[in-house]
Amino acid sequence: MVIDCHMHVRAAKDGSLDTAYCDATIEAGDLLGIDVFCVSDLQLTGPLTYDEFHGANERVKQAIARHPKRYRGYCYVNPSDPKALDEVKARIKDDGFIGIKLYNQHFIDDDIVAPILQLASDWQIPVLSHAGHPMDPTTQKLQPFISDAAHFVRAVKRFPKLILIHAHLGGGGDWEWALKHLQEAPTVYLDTAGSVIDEWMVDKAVAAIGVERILFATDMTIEGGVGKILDANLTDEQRARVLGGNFAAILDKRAVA
Amino acid sequence: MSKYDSIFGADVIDAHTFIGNWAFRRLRRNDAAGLIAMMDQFGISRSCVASADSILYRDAHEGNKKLYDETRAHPDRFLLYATLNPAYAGWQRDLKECVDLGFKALRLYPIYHGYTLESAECLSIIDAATEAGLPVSFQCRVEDLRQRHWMDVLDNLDPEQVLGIAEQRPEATFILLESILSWPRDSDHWKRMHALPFYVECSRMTSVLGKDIETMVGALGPERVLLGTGFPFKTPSPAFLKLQCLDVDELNKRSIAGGNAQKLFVR
Repeated sequence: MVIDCHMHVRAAKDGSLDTAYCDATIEAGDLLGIDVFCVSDLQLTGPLTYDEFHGANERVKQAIARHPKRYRGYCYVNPSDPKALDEVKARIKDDGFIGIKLYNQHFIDDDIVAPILQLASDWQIPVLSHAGHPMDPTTQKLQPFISDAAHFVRAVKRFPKLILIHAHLGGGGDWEWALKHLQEAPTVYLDTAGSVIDEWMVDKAVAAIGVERILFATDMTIEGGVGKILDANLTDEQRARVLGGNFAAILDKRAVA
Repeated sequence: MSKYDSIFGADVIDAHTFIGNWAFRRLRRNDAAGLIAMMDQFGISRSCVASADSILYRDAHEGNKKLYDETRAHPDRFLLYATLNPAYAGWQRDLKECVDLGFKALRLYPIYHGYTLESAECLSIIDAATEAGLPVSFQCRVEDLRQRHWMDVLDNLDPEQVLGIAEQRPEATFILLESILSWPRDSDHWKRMHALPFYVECSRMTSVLGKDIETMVGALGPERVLLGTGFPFKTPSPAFLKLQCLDVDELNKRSIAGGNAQKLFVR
């Protein structure tokens, strides 16, 4: 089974689920051989209120209801919101969401994120966190609290059993810098998503941290996401692990109280 | 045997490849042998190849000479871009040498080479290339700006500016590489581009979700779209997957995969 562990749904102009985009993703999956999309719905700018992330998670729930065999959900929260932990608990226990999605409101190793990470560690559910080491002034200014690989290293030292996924190696930013740091974090997983499809990138990731920690993902760059895995210098068994086996093993760890 | 050649025909031409080094990141398979190995793996009969060295050399023509030496043993596999800097000394002589050596198109990097599209030297080299029968290509970016080396440039080339220059030189043939053109189907940009001999390589665009390649094919016509991988900077399969997923008939897919480049570069 091929699992895209980092994809998104989005809102239509009226705030409801954009069903056309939701269906187009499934169509793309059919064309390119992706069985399951693990999705969140992000608000990319401004502060993230409870109403906003609750609404975003509702849209994920609707997408799952629309294509129950093809979508799995991450619960997206702002960790500094007092209702964040309750939102996570409800989505994981009641709605069957598979994990937690964090964006760039706080560094992943910030104390304010710790209760979320503790719960994820206790329940053995994955935390997919936006990440990057941007080198351009525009991104640096827009995302002052984007976590880079060094933040991830510190987070898993504090929570050694945490299933933490560094998002989109190809999502922009200096991916070689990320790989240098992730060698120091033996429990961090790395997803391959993003619009950067640099030759040699996936092979270098495998060499740096091992094939068992590499997870296939697209983050909306679907042909590029599939293509970079097809071109990687992997055995059939290794490719199957990256394309879905590794993430399926993560989902099997779930131990929700 | 390639997994793609039976789909796209026997004469697949990759309109966007390089040989040479990039100062800010190590590349592999970045010589003629490496490129040919990739081409054989993907069923590409010929590659339009530029010098990666020329982007950052002070004297860009040194990269052209090196490219020629590297590829001269395989004239049946390579079609050469001449990368020149019209703000540098002696470009007229260098262009003539490239034409004499059989280079097929000109490549310009205004941002890397420190001149503007509207400058007199840029217009002069476009005119000279047109006079010599060479199409003029512009690459909108080399690497994603977000991963830029601290000594690399801070901007991408704006496709709208290239379109503006093309309108000033309607007799010239333009090729745009690594652009993201997400204009709506009825945008005036497409109409302006369609009125000119303007070609677009589609490696930065998509056939699914946003479907901007489909929009471009509808607006510009399939005869103006070129397959390109960006190898060895970029991994090749995405370019083929985009063409595979593109909702056009097989004849037009084959044109994009090679027929259009054949008309453009092999004259």
